[in-house]
Formats: sequence, structure tokens, C-alpha cells
Amino acid sequence: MTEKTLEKLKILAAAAKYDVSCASSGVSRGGGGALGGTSGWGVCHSFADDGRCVSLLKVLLSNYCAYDCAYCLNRASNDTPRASFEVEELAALTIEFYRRNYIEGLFLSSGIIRNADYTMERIVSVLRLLRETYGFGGYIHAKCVPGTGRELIVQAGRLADRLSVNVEIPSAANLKKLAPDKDHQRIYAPMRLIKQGLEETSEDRRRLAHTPSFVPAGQSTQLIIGASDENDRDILRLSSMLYQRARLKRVYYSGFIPVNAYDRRLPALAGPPLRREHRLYQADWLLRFYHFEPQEIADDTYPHLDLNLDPKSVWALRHPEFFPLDVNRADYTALLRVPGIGVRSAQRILQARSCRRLGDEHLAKLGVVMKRARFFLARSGQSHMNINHLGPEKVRVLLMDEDCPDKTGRTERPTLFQGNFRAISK
Amino acid sequence: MRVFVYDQSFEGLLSVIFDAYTLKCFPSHLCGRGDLHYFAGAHVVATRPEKSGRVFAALCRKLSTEGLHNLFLLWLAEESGGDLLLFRHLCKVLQHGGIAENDPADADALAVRRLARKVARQAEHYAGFVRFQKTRPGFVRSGSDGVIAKELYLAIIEPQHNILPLLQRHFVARLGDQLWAIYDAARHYGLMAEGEDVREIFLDENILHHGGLREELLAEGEEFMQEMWKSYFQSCAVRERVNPSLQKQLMPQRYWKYLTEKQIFRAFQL
Repeated sequence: MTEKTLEKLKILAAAAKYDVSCASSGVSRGGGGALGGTSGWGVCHSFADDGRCVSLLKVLLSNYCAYDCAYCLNRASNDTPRASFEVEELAALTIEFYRRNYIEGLFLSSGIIRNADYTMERIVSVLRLLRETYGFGGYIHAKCVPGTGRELIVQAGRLADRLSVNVEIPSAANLKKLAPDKDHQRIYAPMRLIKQGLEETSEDRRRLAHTPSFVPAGQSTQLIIGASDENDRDILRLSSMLYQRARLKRVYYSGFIPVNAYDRRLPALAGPPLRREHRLYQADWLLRFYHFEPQEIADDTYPHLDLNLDPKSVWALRHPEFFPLDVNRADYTALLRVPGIGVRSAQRILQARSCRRLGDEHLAKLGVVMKRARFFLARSGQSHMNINHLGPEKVRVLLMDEDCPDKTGRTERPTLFQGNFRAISK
Repeated sequence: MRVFVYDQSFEGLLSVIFDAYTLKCFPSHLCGRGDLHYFAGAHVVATRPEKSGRVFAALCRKLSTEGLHNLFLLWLAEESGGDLLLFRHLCKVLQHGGIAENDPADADALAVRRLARKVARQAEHYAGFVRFQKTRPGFVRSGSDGVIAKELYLAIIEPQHNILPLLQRHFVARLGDQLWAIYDAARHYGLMAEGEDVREIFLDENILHHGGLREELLAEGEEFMQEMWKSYFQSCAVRERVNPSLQKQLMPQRYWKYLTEKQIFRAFQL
């Protein structure tokens, strides 16, 4: 490994950084004297200066690209430094990093070299070298480029832990406009192939003793938020469909970063829409862990998420008739609807109320955030504090006072962003 | 004020519980043998396997799997007053059964869960934050003076809690084909493993300096590999989203001392 590899690493890591996925969870394996294992919950090895977790060595195999997508730094018409890893070089680098516990494994994507199949073949050859020659057992997440055929999907699926095909732009029309070389057909076809492979494997597993694994950590995708004019209702409807019909493990949301400001097809943003991205992740959690339906979070009347309040509180304020709730009687799914009660605290409430009647003094100890939950729970002698007495408007103001700055820790001016956006898209 | 003096081992603590029930006298303070507060009226607990075994068997019957694991975590916490907390909690468990584990009204049960979670979380952190450095050949000598040919991958940590036993299985499962060691510089002991074979080791701490091992002990090419990692670390951050407070929140500064990517001043000169 030489100075040249270092230069390539700098270019190809910077080129891959806009992909937000970093998970290394969902599969357990290891032992037996070999190199590499994975632990079911995933491990974060570091946190970069932007506060994102560094779990995998996330690089492109090459940032030469035949496509010309408006939102992408590596588009063919951009004049940026280009580089490509040799297959052997990248595999060796992964192993060296892994041995020092810098990383949990490899996240490999690539610009389109010549065509989809040629690119995918190169990606698969890195995976094969790592798994078969080096006997590497660590985590591998590989990207499937749009338009990959069945044969290569099967090969990649046998070697990788997770595969992903990025949808990027939620609607077909906007995708056509911003990425003329891609279309939804070419994106959803590989996604369906992966799903088929997963179903076949789980069926084989029922009949045969030894079934080779196929994408054991499932597939994921990424949506770019704010590069096109889809509203949150459209996005959540799409996510929910991807979870239910395509059986995806995760949908990632990436706030659009204007890397090609010169392209007039894109909105001019002051900065990435971090607040909106944060609210979408909260809504995504409601879909996956809180038994919410997408239309309960955003519908035709309210197509946008409230940027100032989390989506669960917003739902609660629109449904005062559901409250107040008695924590000693309410069932699990009802508890999950209360702002300030999460999956963990709801489970703890079920556990704890089997040994005593719960009062206010217990709830905080069980991890319930009382400053939010207090308006929605039936509490003896406190009926003047609940939502039906105060009214949703008043509670909303009180909740907003309590709403801490979002996880990104920044104060943004969402109204300004929305204003800009409308001006451009019309 | 009732004081029990014991040898500060886990079996010792179980023997304390045994004695407390036998004497029907529950201590409000626990002391070690060498402690300054050695009171004339204090009861000295003799650690006996037959005592601790009986208590442990009873606990195994009453505690959930998670509850038993929490005992282990709490013991590794090495927090002052942790033994007394554990004593009070275990007495309640023996009296009321496993239900006392999750009683929300019981401050001790809550403190036990909190502390156990803190230790487990620190171990999870270290599973990611441990950084191995490849040492030059001949760094490790076995028994008499035979030189082990394999290069050792050595990592230094300074955890608040004694989390090394918790890390063992994690790294044994993934670094099966290399010789590795993790050394706890705060407790002055380490574990060295090759395959499934794990040994306790002690290091001459003069070979350490800020950020890890002294340069002359590193293998050829090791500094370059560290440089590669630092470059990767710099390149993967998105400039538009830079957020140092979030970084510090997720990766507290107490971990930075031995993190390769945070050793800026040792930047490799090409």
C-alpha cells in the first residue's frame, strides 16, 4: 500500500460520504479462528466531525460515472478529481483497517463504469476476494446499481450482509427530470429480485439443513429529501410501501445538500433541510415501532410534517378524544400513542404494573418523559392539566416550550427554507 | 451503625449476605480488611464457599437471567458504595423474589439497573473505540526467552469500569487469526489472546505514551496505516453538517486519549 492508495482513499471516501446509511446490525456470526465477525446490534467505531457514526469503511470503488444525475457530486459533467481502487488494493485496505478495530466492515458503492452490469461485476469481485480468499467474516454492505441483472444480484446476495438500491428521488417524474439515465423500473427491478431471493432462502431454510445465506441483514434504501417537490405525505406513503411490500429493513432519509448549485433544476437552499430530515426519521420510527399508519402522520389535509413539534405529539393534539389514558389499564399499543412514552418505557410500565399500582412518582423512574406525557394521562387530582381540559391549542404551546432543540443541535429557520423552495419549484 | 468487614471479593459479599441472615443483623456499612474505619464492634465475615454457594444458588432460583447478568455488571462497575447497594438489593430479592427486580418504587432496584446499564454501555462503547496498534516483531516474548514470531496487535484503554472481561468474548469471536491484546492502563492488567487461548498479561508501562505505544515499538508501515485511517476519518465528514457538540455527545472526550483518529499532533511526516 502506497502514497497513491492514500490519495485514492481521500477522493473515494469523500465521494461516498453523502450516503447516510451506516448500520452494521441485523446479523450475528463469528468465532472458529477466522477473521471477522458481526454482533447483532451493530457497533459504532467512531463519530465523524458531523456527528455521524463511522461503522463501515464507506467508499466508492470508482467515482468515474457515466450518469449525469443533477443532485450528485460525481455526475459525469462535474470536473472533480477522479480515482478508482484496484480490487486487490481495496480488499487489503479493508482487512488492515479491520484488524485494528477501526471498522466493522465494508460499505461499497460505485459510480457507473461503462454500464450497470460491468460495475456490479467489479463490486462482486471485491466481495468475493474478501469472503473467499481472505475468509473475511465482517460486515459487508454493497450497493446494487440500478438495472443490475438477476445473476449478479444472486452472487452479491450470497456474499454481502446487506444490499441496497437507492431510490434517491421519491417520484418517478422527478427522477426522470433530475436523473435522466435512471428510471423507477430500473431501480425497483433489482429491489424485487433481492426480495425474491430473501423469500426463496427463507423457504429453502424450512426444507433443507444447509441453505447458503442470502443478504442476512436485509435490504435498505435512501431517499433524498428536499431536492424535489414531493411532500411528506408522499414520502411517508412510499416508505410505508417499501417496508410492507418490498420488505425493506430500513429507509434512510438524506437531507439534500446542494453540491451542484449551478444546476437550475434544483432548489436553492440555504443549507440542508436538517429539521425536516429529523422529523421524517421520527415519523419513520412511528411506522416501524409504534404501529402508526402513514396517513395518521401526514394526510391530504396536513401533507407536511410540523417542523416545530414531533409527529407523535402532533397526532395526539389532533386526537384529544383518545386521551386521557390510564397507565394502569391501557394496553401496549395505546401506551405507545402517548407522547413521552417510548417502546422501552411502555414495556417497563407493563412489567412494573404487575407488582403495584403506578402513580406519577413511579412513571418518571420508568423512563416516561413526564413533561410531555402529563397532558395525556389520567392522573388523580390533576384533571385540570389534561388535554381535554386545557384544549389542544394550549397544550401545543406548552409542548413547544418543552420541545428541546433537535438532535442536530442547530437552530434552523424552516419557514425560510420552505419559502425558498416554493419560489423555485413554481 | 452496624459494620461488616469482608475481603471485598464477590464470594465475600455473598458470605456477608449469609452472615446477615444467620445473625439476623443487617449491616449499614461494608468495609474492606485494610480500611481505616475498622471498628471495634465490627463483625468480620469469613469468606467460605459453602456460604457463598448457598446464597448464589438461592439467587439463581429467584433472579431472571438479566438480573443475574446485572450482578456481574455491577461487580465490574467498581463504584464506591456499589457493594452495599448490591447487598441491599440482593436481600430484597431473597425476601420478595424476582419481582423486586422491577419494582418501580424501590430506589435500590432502580440504582442497580442504572449502574448495570452504565457498565454495559461502556463495554459497548469500547467494543468500537478500542484501537489496535501493530507492534514490531519480537515485541512479545514467551516464558523463558523464546521470541514469538507473530506480530502483536496491542490496544490500550483506560475505562472507568472494569469492562475488560466483557470485551473478551467480543474480540475472541472476531480476531480469531491474529495475536491481540488489550491492556487496561487504569487497572494495570490486560488480556492477550490467540484464537480461543486467552491469558492475563502485565506490561511495563514505560512503553506507553499519550495515544498509545512509543513509535519505536511499532511495526513497519503501522504509522502509515494510522495515517490512512486519519485521512479517511477527515474525508468522510460532510462539511455542511459539521456538529462538534453532537460528536462529543456520542463519543465523549474521555475516550479520545487512545483513539488513533484523534491524535493530530503525531501526524506522520512523509
